[in-house]
Amino acid sequence: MLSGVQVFLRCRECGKPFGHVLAHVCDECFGALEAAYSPDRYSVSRTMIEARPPSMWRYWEFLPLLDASKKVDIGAGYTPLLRAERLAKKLGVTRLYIKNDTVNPTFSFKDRPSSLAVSKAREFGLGSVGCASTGNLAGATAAHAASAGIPCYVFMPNSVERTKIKQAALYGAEILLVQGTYDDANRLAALAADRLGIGIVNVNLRPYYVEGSKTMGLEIAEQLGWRAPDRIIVPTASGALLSAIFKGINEAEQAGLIRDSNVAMTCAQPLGCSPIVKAFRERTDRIEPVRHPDTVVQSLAIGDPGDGYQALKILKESGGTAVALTDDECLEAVELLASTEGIFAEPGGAISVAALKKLVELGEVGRDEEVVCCVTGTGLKTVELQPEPNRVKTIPPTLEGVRKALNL
Amino acid sequence: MYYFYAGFRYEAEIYEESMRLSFNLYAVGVAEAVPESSDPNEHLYHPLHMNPLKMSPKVRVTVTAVLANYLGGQRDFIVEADSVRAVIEELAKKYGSEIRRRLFDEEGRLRRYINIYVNDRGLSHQELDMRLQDGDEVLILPAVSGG
Repeated sequence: MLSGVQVFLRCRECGKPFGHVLAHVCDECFGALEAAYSPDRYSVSRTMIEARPPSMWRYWEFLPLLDASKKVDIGAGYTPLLRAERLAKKLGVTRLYIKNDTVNPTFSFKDRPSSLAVSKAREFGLGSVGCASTGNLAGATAAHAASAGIPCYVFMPNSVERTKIKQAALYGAEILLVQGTYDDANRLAALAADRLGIGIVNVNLRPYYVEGSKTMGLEIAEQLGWRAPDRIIVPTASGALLSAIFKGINEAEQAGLIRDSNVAMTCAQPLGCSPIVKAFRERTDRIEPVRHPDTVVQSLAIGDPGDGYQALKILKESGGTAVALTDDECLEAVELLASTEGIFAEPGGAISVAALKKLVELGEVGRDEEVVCCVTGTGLKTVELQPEPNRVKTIPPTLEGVRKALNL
Repeated sequence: MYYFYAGFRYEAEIYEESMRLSFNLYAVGVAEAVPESSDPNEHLYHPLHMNPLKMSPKVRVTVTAVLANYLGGQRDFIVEADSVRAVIEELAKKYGSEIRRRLFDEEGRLRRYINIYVNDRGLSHQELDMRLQDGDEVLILPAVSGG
């Protein structure tokens, strides 16, 4: 069995150390707590990792679970990293990869943090879990809770796509549709964590939860042959995924698994809810929350990004950039990705492709850069958003009908 | 029809007229200029003593465990204060000034990792001095969550 590591929390802002506790903010400065590990975690080699089963749990030494028997694993992670040559040609770049997280068990990257957070909930002995969700996390948390056999309570804005609501409910979760924005749902979830003792994966379990997303960065490095690409473009809402991928790449380097990483982290947000992009582009150090997000890209409609400042810091430190895309640009990117690479993403996943297109046009991304676009969720849950395709024809059940329709 | 207030009975017309007058005076901000009555007991039976400029609104304040550390371990409060900033001042008076230092920086700006809501609406820094109303609900939460 895989060996355990010692894990503790520390404040990302002021550095105050905490133990292995159920807490998410520093009691001194209210900065986010993050997981840190004892030095012996680096006693792992590339070959040891490569010999393990293909799931996010192959990076055990980088994950903050102490008791392997508490692991809740329904197959999250180790998703394909595909060389996207046809799409690259369309966009005018030479080296493009798609990190295809649409193929996770509940069809989004959120299975990664959920797998870890629900495992930690079991380790802490919590009787129930929950989440505040823009849609995808709902299904992911509910599925892992179902597998763990514990109750799950989901807080979502009532504007979320119906498929996502139904999916989470079918896993057995109690769904609370909040008449308001994601930030309203998030506020209620924070109170539920505080007052009702629920293990809200992205509130009181958050320092552990975000570590799950780190595996996307570790996988990219491994799948490229143990190195980092020039640029990773990340669909961004709270900033947690972007921060976690960067942490994963950095930790892989610290562990000696990769060398000379110089990755430029790049943030993609929908124009109608782009507080991080706005702060980056305007070179301010204050992120102004968007009180009323105005976008069909529901999965990225977080007006008050919990990891906004961390993401902003990483964008600057890594020499990355940030770009906002219109709803139409996101919907077009869904079709472009599907029709060139056979990957059907939601607009909030394909936004990374839209971002690359725009950044190449703006001259902010070089044509010979090696770029990874993270595609974070399936299009099947948001199919209602796509315009009716014009390639659909109804024909009589005859060969003549086929010939006429296809002009053959 | 009669209203009962502070153990006294008022005819509806008189009461309503008094309240209307009180409201109007408040609205134009001249209530302080109302001449004091020569009767020292007047405030006991005249509804005008409810002049809102003389009494701060009573609001419910909620915090989570991490902030309760600086508030004697309590998470729910009833506070009489005119604004959110005044709420913090009242709490600081009662539980020590540490809470003020934790929430505001040296320039009096709300710290980055704190969100304050009034009646479930997030406040911007500029709204910290906005006048509160009786029964308002103030919620103070760490900002790092969600996503």
